[in-house]
Amino acid sequence: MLGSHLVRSSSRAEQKSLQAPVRTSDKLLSIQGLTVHFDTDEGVVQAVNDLHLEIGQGEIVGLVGESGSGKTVTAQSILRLTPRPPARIVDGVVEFNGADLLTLPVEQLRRLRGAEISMIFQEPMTALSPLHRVGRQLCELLSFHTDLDPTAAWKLGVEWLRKVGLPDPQQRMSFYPHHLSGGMRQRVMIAMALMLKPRLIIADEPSTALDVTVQAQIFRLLLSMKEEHTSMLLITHDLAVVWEVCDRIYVMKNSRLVEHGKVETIFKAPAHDYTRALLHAVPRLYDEHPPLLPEYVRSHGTLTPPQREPPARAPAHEQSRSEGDRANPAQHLLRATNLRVWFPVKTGLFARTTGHVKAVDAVDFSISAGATVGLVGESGSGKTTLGRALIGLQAINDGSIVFTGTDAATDMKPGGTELGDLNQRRLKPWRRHLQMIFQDPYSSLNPRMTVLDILTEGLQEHGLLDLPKPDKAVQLLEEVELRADMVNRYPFEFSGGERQRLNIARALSLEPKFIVCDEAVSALDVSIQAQVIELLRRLQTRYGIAYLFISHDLSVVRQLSEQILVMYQGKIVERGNTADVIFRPRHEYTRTLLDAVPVPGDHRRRRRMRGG
Amino acid sequence: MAEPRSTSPHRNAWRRLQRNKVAIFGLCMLTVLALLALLAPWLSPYSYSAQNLALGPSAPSAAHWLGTDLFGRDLLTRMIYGSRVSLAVGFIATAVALLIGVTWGALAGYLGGRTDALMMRLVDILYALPFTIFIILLMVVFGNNIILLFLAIGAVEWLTMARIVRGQVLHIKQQDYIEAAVSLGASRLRIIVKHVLPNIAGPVIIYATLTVPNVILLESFLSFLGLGVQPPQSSWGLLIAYGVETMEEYPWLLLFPATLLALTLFSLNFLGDGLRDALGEK
Repeated sequence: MLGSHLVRSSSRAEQKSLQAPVRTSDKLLSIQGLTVHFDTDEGVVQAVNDLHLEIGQGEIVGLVGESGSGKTVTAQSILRLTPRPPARIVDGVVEFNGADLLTLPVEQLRRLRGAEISMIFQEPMTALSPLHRVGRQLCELLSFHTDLDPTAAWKLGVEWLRKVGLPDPQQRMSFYPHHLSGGMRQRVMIAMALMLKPRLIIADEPSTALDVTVQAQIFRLLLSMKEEHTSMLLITHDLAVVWEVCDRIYVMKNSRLVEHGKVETIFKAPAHDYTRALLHAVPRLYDEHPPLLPEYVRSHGTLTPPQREPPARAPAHEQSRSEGDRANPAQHLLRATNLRVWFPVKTGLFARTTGHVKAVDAVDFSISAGATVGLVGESGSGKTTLGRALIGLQAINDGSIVFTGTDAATDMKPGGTELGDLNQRRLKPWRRHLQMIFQDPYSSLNPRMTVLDILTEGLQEHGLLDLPKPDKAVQLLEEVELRADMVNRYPFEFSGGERQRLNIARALSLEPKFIVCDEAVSALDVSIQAQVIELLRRLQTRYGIAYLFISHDLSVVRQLSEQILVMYQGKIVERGNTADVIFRPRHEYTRTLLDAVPVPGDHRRRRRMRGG
Repeated sequence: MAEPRSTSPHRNAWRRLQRNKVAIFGLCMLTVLALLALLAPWLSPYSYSAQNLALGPSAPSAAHWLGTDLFGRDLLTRMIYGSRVSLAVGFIATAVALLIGVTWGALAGYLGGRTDALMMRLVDILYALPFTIFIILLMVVFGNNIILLFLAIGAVEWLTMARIVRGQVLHIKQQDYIEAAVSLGASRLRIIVKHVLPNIAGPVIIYATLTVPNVILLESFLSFLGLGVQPPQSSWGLLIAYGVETMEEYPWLLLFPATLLALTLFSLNFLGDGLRDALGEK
């Protein structure tokens, strides 16, 4: 196409501006042959390779791919926002409404930014000025681009905060960004992006920081912009969102475009193997049988482990469910009653306690050996605090936690031990039975320690090393299907998925009875997510570990758990067998939560969402 | 088992530092200076205290490369001996500051709560003392003692170090790997030593390289005031003080020591900047 005929010289800008703009497409935005390189220490890396993409008037286009596929760089290139260095736009044309954005003088480009094309970023922290009140930032934007008088601008600002679903918009106008939660900040940013009614919105993972209920609300809002013929480029890794929101979809892999077309067509019959694998890996809320790992991901994923075992049997929870999970209380591995974790709220000069945040409030919990309990709820509902309290990482204010996983080596009272009463030192013998897998694969591994030290630290601390350190570490690496030669490396050399495997290996090292998985797969791409879930499942079958699987993503929880707890404002509002909770929710909040989960392939939901 | 190309965070930082020409220049410069100072008795052409009153102050010549001072002492020799004192003060006082500052800051940051508040209030109070006067007082009370000089300067410089370390520790404390270590059963001491300290090494090293020139300058200042090193010993500050007195007749007596001091300070700052860039990421 056109990209290959471009003059590749630094004077391209001047040459082009002399010619009359040639319209090559009747689309609002047309990207042709975009190629972006990154200059790194190790040499030139191709971030985007000969990419073609078009967006029509009023069209919503999804650009999907896994992390590192080049989708964000593509989005940044449109407005020439790529960080330079290291990024270099080597080739291509980005035509917006007849003008080539890549050669447009900066002055003109600046006028387009915000007013004609606006961006919603993934990271809401950096996009708002921390020094100015929300209201002022909204009004400034309005007064800069429109001729509204201050009162009208203020009113419009409030109106938009209401539209993006911020409670108490009038009051929030006088807040500083740090008063708002991440989700609220993201909504303020979305309001700022939409307020000027741009012709094109580029949204880069706009809902990653948001809860599902808020996410649904935001997308409904974005879809309503369609009526004003606003176009949107939605960059996301979440295929379920694409299904509900987009008209057409572009799939990227390793800096190249793999496939594109109408959403219905591609979801029904993907032409490329990679798309098929991606689609297959998406957990679906209502599927009768949660998907197993697709063959493609097994062989083309980031890892190709030697398969020492026969492929996974029926999911562990299908088996154990038939055994009758209403086990008698004596068989509970861990049991918490009337658990309370309250955080004092201190105000004023002398930091007097004026109230409490009831993070966990009168919660009863129990889990039997080898079982998986899912815990869902939105951010701030107290899920993580509950998980941390159960394994003694968080002091509790009231209630009791009884652990009955007795072991000859640790001298425990028959009938269990009250974990909540123990101080840190006395907790130590119990620690090895209670482990945690963290959400963030980056901050959960000490960057200054080698894999060898990370994996053997716990064993050394407990004096349980039965093998020389390197042998033990290699054994653990094999357990999580990583290569033995990785043992002397540092965490930064690993990808997100591999890091999460290291996290699992570390938790496994002490042969625990109970592991809290706190959003353990939320930060991973879907195909990696599927691999890690599969690994967790296999380890459970092999060692009979009990999991508390905390997640905001019901579809993922569904894949692993035989029981689901729904948490809302510190309380468990619903509990029951997975199928019951998902197919026959009783509590109002559970219904809201379920209703907000996008389900790929569900035409009814897609129509309802898109108002068609 | 380890592959030859295996990298570590330290090695990567070293590689980045090597690419920074100015920082490497600074490092070489400091190495040469340190060697000169160490080998002073063997290298210097004259004795640092040998006077040649017959010669008196003389301009640079073949016999005395950098000239002689009022008593006919060889300036080059006195500068080399002076660097022993100045560099020693710089590095030892910084080491003292590091030791106290890192321990104090790490404990305050990691323990948190009331302990932290108390420990940091003490730092605030010490900060509020005018530190030059504090050192002068110490010198007046305990007399001129070079060891005391090391300790006194170090005891003042640790305050900033403690604050920096505490801030870093507060940040590191929130990382999940600390929580993971707790759940593995690691003791507090182990967590501080194995998990917290290695991860704050970057900012600490950077601040330390920037403290050394501060301290050298402080020593020069004190010697200049007559509170530091006493003649016939020499230090850069002392040489500069004499140089200033005779600036108009014998400019080289000021020019050479001042240039050397400036070069050293430049080198340390270049190295500090280079380290900051090299350790900045990952």
